[in-house]
Amino acid sequence: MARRNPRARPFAPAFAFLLFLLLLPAVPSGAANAVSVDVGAVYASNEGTSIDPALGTIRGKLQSMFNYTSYRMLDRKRRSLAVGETGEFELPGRRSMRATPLPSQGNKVRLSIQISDGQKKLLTTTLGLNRGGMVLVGGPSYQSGVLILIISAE
Amino acid sequence: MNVGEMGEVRDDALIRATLEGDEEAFRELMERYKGRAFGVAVGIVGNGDDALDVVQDSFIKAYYKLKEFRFGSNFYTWFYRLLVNQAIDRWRKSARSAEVPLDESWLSEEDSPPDAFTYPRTPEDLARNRELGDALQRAIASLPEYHRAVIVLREVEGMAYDEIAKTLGCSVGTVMSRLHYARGKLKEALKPHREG
Amino acid sequence: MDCRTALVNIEKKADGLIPREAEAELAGHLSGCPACAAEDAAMSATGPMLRAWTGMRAAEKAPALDAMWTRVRAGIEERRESRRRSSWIARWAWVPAAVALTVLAILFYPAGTDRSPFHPTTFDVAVEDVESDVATVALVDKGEDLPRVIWIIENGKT
Repeated sequence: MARRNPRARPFAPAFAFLLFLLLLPAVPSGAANAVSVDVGAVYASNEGTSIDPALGTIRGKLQSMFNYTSYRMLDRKRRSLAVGETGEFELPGRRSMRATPLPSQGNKVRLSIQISDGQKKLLTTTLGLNRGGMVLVGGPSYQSGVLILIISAE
Repeated sequence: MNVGEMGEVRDDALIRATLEGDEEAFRELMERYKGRAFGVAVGIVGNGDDALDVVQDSFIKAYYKLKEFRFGSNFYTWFYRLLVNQAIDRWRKSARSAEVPLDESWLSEEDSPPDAFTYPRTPEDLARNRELGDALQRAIASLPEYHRAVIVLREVEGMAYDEIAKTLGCSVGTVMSRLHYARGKLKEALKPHREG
Repeated sequence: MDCRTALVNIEKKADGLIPREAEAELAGHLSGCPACAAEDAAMSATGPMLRAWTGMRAAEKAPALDAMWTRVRAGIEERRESRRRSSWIARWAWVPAAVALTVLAILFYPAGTDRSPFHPTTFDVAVEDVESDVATVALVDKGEDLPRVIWIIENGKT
């Protein structure tokens, strides 16, 4: 009797692919046009010297761009938004951000961003970036430092 | 514990401790050399922010390469080779990238961007005046990278010719000729700014 | 001593390598030769100026230098994490379909708070328009390796 091949791995990718096909209908239609907007709120100050490891590879970049000694991630949110759909992001210090993906072509993402402090519109901007791109919006005062928002889109 | 003249733990004892997993030992090594490393890095890359990145990257690289360190040799000569190569790579990268001009169209006439940003600044008044600092920075930047490294290791670090040669992996003769060239260039550049 | 020899000895003197007998001879030459004396002064000044310049840069960056261990430690951790991730992927490379499935699920599943580190692939961002009711806005570029910054300066604040 032939010995059963202990390395039955070739079946695993096939099984996973079958599972993938079964789950495919569950993927929201139009998902290819959806934009995942990721917003991280960082508190930058000169209080202490801690650099939040949650900032990942951009830690060094923040340190080289700004003269603050401490960077702490206060919050991070991600929303998947369809083109034309507006997502609301609550930010520290009574601020809020609204993001709306706009029509674009290819791998590009266009975002309309509005950042408010209560009723006051601190910033209204339209950004064009590639998926996986990142931009920083900073300056609003927070405690003894400032807020820096890390905005990226996938 | 290997203790030197000043009561400090010797470098090789700290390296051994690091290799055994003691991160605090590496921290002590880093604290010992970071100031001097910054002086060398800033002399090569020309600005403080890039120098900080170079020092950081060099220590991280050193941490993972420590198992290659040959006990009995000088740590700082070994480390400075890493540091100088990092600094030269960094300088080459920043010299290649086009400087994106600041878009000032959003600024009002009264306001200016906050001090939080690290803008390129003209060197302040050093020994004499602002122009001298500018001239010095330009003169250093005009030197080829390895000439810059040689004059910084000699004049800022006070390294002997043979130590510089070991650090840069070249002969003492090459060190002397690069030093001669670099000194000549700096003297020429600074001549108009020196007081009579 | 002639000027040619003097110039060689001036450089040796700067490196502390001049023989004692030549030192006195050089001093004698310099007292009578303004050109060589100027060269000697220039040579003597270069080192202190360079040290002063690097010292100034170090003083400017003293707080950041004080915090260097935080940066180095974070970098060590990050590299360790990246190595762990690489060896994990290599071990499970025989299930590429399963990995693709997981990635798709994460991308399309609505997520709330996320604590995974940032891994941007590009900083190339076009700012099509910008305005503010209550602040001045500055747009800052520091190079292609750094993210673009939109900086809000709230009116009445510095």
